[in-house]
Amino acid sequence: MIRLSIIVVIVGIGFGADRGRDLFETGSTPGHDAIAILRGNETEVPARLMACANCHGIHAEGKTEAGVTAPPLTGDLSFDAFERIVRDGVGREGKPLHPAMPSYRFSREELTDLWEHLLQLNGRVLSHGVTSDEIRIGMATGPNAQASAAVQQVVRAAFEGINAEGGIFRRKLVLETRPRHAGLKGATFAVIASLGDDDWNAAAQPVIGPLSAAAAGPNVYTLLPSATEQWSALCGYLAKNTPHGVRIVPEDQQQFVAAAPACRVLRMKAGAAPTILFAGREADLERVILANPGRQVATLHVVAGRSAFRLPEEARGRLLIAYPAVPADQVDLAAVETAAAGRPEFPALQSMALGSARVLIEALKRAGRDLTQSRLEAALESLNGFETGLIPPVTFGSGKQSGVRGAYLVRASADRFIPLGSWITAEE
Amino acid sequence: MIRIVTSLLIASTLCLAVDWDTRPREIPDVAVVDQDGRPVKFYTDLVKGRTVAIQTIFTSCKTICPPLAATYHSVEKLLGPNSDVRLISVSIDPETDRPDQLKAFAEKFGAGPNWTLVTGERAEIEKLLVAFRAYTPDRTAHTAMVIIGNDASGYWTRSYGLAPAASIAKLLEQARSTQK
Repeated sequence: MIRLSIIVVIVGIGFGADRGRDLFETGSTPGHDAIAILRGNETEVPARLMACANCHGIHAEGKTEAGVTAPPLTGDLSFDAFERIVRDGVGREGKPLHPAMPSYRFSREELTDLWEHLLQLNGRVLSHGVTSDEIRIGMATGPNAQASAAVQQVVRAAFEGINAEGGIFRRKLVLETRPRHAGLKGATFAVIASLGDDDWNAAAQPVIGPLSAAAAGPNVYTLLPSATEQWSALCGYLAKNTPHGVRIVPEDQQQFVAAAPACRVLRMKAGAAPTILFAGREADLERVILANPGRQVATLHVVAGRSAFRLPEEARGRLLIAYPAVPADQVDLAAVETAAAGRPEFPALQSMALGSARVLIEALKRAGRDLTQSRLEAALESLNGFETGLIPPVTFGSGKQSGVRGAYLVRASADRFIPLGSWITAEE
Repeated sequence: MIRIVTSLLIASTLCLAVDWDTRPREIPDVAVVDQDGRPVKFYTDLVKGRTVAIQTIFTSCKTICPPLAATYHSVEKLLGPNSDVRLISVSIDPETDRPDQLKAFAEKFGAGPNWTLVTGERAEIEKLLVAFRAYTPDRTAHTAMVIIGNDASGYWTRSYGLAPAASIAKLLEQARSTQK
């Protein structure tokens, strides 16, 4: 194996907005010459004789000479991989590059400038959905056109807001919608606030704040608590605030409820328990609550659904519901109204979507200009108690992709849910 | 025989392409000019009785020629100023590459006294390329090989022109040590 490379050392530091282009096209910057060293023979050569554009072309289009092909500089590449190629002469698979390829020992800053210039060349895509001037974010719209339009409206407003400030590292956020997640694969960088199908993995990219059903998957960063986390918040509240003793109805749902640590420690009391944890079907809720006069019935919003509004007033007063998002009464209506350009049609949903957009924007800022999906995921996982002003504080972590763990506790009136207090974080 | 085995061993160790059948045909004694504009008889003045390395370049080539030239520079340094080994670069774009262009190219890559760059009439240059089996109709398809030989002993070999300079220098020293 012939191993030979040329090490280039830039002497001095150039400056100016076009430094990346200067380095690419001439191997040096104005007033600062560069040196190349052939590995294996320790000889310095001016880098201007080995400029990137000489071999790869002025537009990085690639070319072949003397049987040696300098490839076009395109493809999905992280900054780290780029650095290994340029400085160490090591390709993506860890193999040494062709000996005609110099190894440039630029400073980090110079490499960044060069990287920026490469991004600008031909609007080249370095990661799916990312170019030098835009980040394409996807959304699966689902069957409810009205709800989807409302959600899109607030997300677009959030994107327009950040774009008006110059974007994120000079890249504008662009929302792209498809009916299903599979349609977003390869087209967008990340997915936000989807109402579409539950095939999250089909998108093959980070999915942030999905709005439909309980979402889970290695690429899903949910901003709605899981059922277990809601049960945990509910049981934690019961342990401190109500007479002890609970009974799970129906009994065959014991395991489902007991998955929540806070519920496991509640004292189970057959028959005479003052509180019933109802984990059955929505259609059975009314029968259970009316068959147990004087007892409190606690359940999840996903179980009670809209049937809670149809209960007699006395029964509604005994019903305690864990609600996974900010109740309509507590939505920051001003923010949502601004985004929705008027009275929001779906305040809770739009509040969630706008909160998700703020989480995404924050993570994109933290991910830095050398944007890759793994950097976005690392940035998401660095969020700790992040306040959007719209949804409960968001905390992800390594292996913790449920960003909001807990619930609001609400009671149902004839037409809406009334919160009992502030957000309750689920006990671990 | 021992010499051949040793050479093959070195060649295989370095993964260099060595072709024992690529000994040049009779080297034509064509009239060329060097980077200083001096008329030179290619065989008589540059090759006869010497150990030489011969590569093809052209000064407007930006891809492969700079590293080829940089490698030559390193080889020249490794051999030292008192070496009698001669490094020769033959321009394959003789209409463009006049002595001034060759001189500038040589200076850019720090050519020393043992490195000669030559140009000349196209027909004469082509005779050389054919003799060295290095002729290509399209100059951008030119070879990146360096031909290494000892005219006195008749020992000829080849190396990839972008092999480490130390490897090429070693092959040159080896060629130099061969005897007829």
